[in-house]
Amino acid sequence: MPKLIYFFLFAGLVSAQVAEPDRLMQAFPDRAMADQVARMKTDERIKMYEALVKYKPEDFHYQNLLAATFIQKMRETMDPAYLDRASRIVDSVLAAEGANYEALRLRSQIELERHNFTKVAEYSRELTATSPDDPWNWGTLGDSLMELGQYDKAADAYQRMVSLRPDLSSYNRASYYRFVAGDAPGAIEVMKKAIDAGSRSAENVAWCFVDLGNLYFKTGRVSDAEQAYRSALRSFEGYYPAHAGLGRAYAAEGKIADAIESYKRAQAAVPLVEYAAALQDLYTLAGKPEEARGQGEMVDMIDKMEQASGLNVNRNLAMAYADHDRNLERALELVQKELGGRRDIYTYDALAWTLYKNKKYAEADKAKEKALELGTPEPAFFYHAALIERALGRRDQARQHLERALALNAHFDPRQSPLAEAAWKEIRQ
Amino acid sequence: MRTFALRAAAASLLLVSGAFAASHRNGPLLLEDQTANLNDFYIFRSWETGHTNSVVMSMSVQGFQNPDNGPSYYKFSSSVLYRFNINNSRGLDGNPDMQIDFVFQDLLRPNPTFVSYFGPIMTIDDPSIFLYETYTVVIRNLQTGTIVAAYNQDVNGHALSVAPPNLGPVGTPNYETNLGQPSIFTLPNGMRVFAGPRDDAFYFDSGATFDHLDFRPPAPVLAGAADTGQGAAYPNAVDGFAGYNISLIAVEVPINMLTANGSIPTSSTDPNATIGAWAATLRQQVTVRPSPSDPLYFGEYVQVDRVGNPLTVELLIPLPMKDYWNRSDPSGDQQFASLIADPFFVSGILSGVFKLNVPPAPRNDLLGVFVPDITRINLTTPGIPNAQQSRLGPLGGDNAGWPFGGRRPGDDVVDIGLRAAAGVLVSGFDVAPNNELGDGVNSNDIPLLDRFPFHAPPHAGFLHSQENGTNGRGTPTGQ
Repeated sequence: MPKLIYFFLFAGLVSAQVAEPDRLMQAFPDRAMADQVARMKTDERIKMYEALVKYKPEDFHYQNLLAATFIQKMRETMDPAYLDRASRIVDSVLAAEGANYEALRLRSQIELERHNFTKVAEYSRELTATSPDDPWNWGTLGDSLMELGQYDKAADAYQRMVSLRPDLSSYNRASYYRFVAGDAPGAIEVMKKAIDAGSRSAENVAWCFVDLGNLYFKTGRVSDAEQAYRSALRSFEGYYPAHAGLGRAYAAEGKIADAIESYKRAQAAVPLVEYAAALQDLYTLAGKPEEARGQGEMVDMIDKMEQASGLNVNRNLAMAYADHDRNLERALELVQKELGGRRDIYTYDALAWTLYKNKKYAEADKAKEKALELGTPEPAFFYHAALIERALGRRDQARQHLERALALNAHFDPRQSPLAEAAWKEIRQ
Repeated sequence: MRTFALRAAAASLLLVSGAFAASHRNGPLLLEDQTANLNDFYIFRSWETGHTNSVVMSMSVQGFQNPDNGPSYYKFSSSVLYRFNINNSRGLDGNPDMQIDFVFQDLLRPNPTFVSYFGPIMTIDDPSIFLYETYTVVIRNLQTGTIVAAYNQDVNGHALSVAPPNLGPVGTPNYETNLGQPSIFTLPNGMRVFAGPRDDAFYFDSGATFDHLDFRPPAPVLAGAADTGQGAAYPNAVDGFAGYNISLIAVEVPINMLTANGSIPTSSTDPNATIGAWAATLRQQVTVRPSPSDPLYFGEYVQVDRVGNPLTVELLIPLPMKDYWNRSDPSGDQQFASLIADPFFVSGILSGVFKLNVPPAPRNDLLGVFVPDITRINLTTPGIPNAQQSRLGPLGGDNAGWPFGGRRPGDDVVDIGLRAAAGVLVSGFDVAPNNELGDGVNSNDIPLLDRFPFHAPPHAGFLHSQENGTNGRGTPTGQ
């Protein structure tokens, strides 16, 4: 692989003698170049495109390719510094050439990563109007609408995307929509198709395997989920969401030590708040209160750092607090702020749960209705709904919701599912 | 210890500040495709004894396969429809008259290991082929709108199975004898089919091309001497495709099944004597919204790639139009005629940079080959063995090659394409240096076969030649 990089670097050296060297590069853009580049690892691509940008700084195409590769690197590492680098490149391209199409597409993707969903929907709509045949724009439009809770319009956008080009990216989104809309078996079938369609990006395939694992897990097929997470790790070594998925599966199987090990791997790669919260529960189950306390401190530290950087939207942090019955006002505040730019069922579920924990049952009742609106088979949604119904004295509804949660996956969470079962036993009498 | 760990975690937290702590579903957006990615399409009259009245069509997919890509190796996608299109009527307008579809199914056999194949694999029915792929061949007549036949077994009742990968001398001993040739199946209607890994017959000094057509001395090209040699005349030239495998789908069809009137034409001027063909890959749409009344998830097929002639997209279609091109059908290729009749490669590069004297636009000679983008073959020209072929096809006096006599695995489509782009098919331009252009790579890295499926056996994983410095040259395959 390095050989190819040398070719490109050498190309820079001889360029002085050739009249229009960069146009030569475009002469064979497709078969050979795409195939060659596709074989390179993300870091190798970054090096190559950096060399090309240095050699031909005014050619926006290479800058856009570099920015796209930085975004891919960010996907693989969750290191936002890569997103910032991509963003700076795209901004400078757009400052020089406002209508640069490749850069405009990338801008949607960058703003998506920054959770500026309203903006993304706006940008994507503009691009679908001018380039209706490009599946990319329908993809970012659908993604932003899903986060904004505009599910019907999101389905239309995804349908356009998959009709233009059935492939890993569009199948993945169609599958996710089906799950959210209540069809887990369909979601599983379509996600398998996404994996089968494949990609030269091993990370993209691993992403789909993790999604498949999550679909299995939420519908109680824990050993299938475990297999899918393992396949993700085989596709893309060290993939942190796959380690977290394995942790979830092991916990459901009662293999607490293995679960801790897997979550620690995920946390070492990317210290997400939900990993700390899961580890806190697992260490408690393992009879290691000291370690559990350490993970709890980690949750607080993440909160402090977010506050220091002016961020007050994080529903996962809110859920960590609510699940552990602490900082409940802060938890509610976090979700309410998040609701400002994100009105999907997951945010409504978080709102319902934090309202419930703050004993605001009537409001929680309304929020949980929004969360359950589409019949999404999320065990936690039904568990949360059940406890809200119980608090409002509706025992029958509470029992039905609990039975639904436990039927989907009786071991959906190491701390919450025993509580769900206890509530069900109590309510059944 | 704990304090230290937390401090380390805090340090890494600095990286993960902000919105990342509350990630959303950032689904993949790379519009790259692997399993449906077509590389080359071939069509030629067979020269294999006993099969000379047949035409072989093959398509290669998933280029640049590393032979040692264990543990799972490459496979055909079960969600892709691989299609051969044949046009035999209406003056070859780019509309299909016949289609031969290949659809694959996976069977995962009980597997005690993490690998997809665990040898030694001695036969194509070996149970240690854990990832057992089979396929169905569907033949359609577009003129009558009927399915003529659908086969998932050969004439002896054996499943149509995909040849396993060539692991190496221990895992797959005597690969070609034990596994390659036995994966050729005769269908009840007399067609023969093959699907499996093979060597990539495409050869091209891609490295030098990226280096601004900086072909290696003493390679000729745009740098002096004529590329007239046959075989490995320019040892410094590097076949960038050497040592890599592709996945091949091949079908051998009796000529009388391909012609509009069911005849075997004998006169080259018979309107039935010339047919055109191309390959396409399609994937199924999916219905995004679940519907209880309609349990079907998947809908009609959408074309995601097509290939008729070699180099069309590379030389003639601008990159931003590639996706649109791939979705469209050859019958509509007239819309690209203005691009093809005045390609940038000719005006900007051959003429602009290398100062060649080229024919003026519009280039009707190129339109004749590339619009519609189908490979044409005159069925009255018999096939000849590899050793007697000219790599330059009709440009070398051998009419059974690209671009007028189909395309054979051995045709040097890069040199032919460079020369055709430079105008050698136009009266007055078949002169030096236009008719001497070439990349210096004049043959495939390993010998092609003189029998179906004609592509050489796949490189073995054990002898993975990309790593041993030979770049594929001289490395034995078949083991």
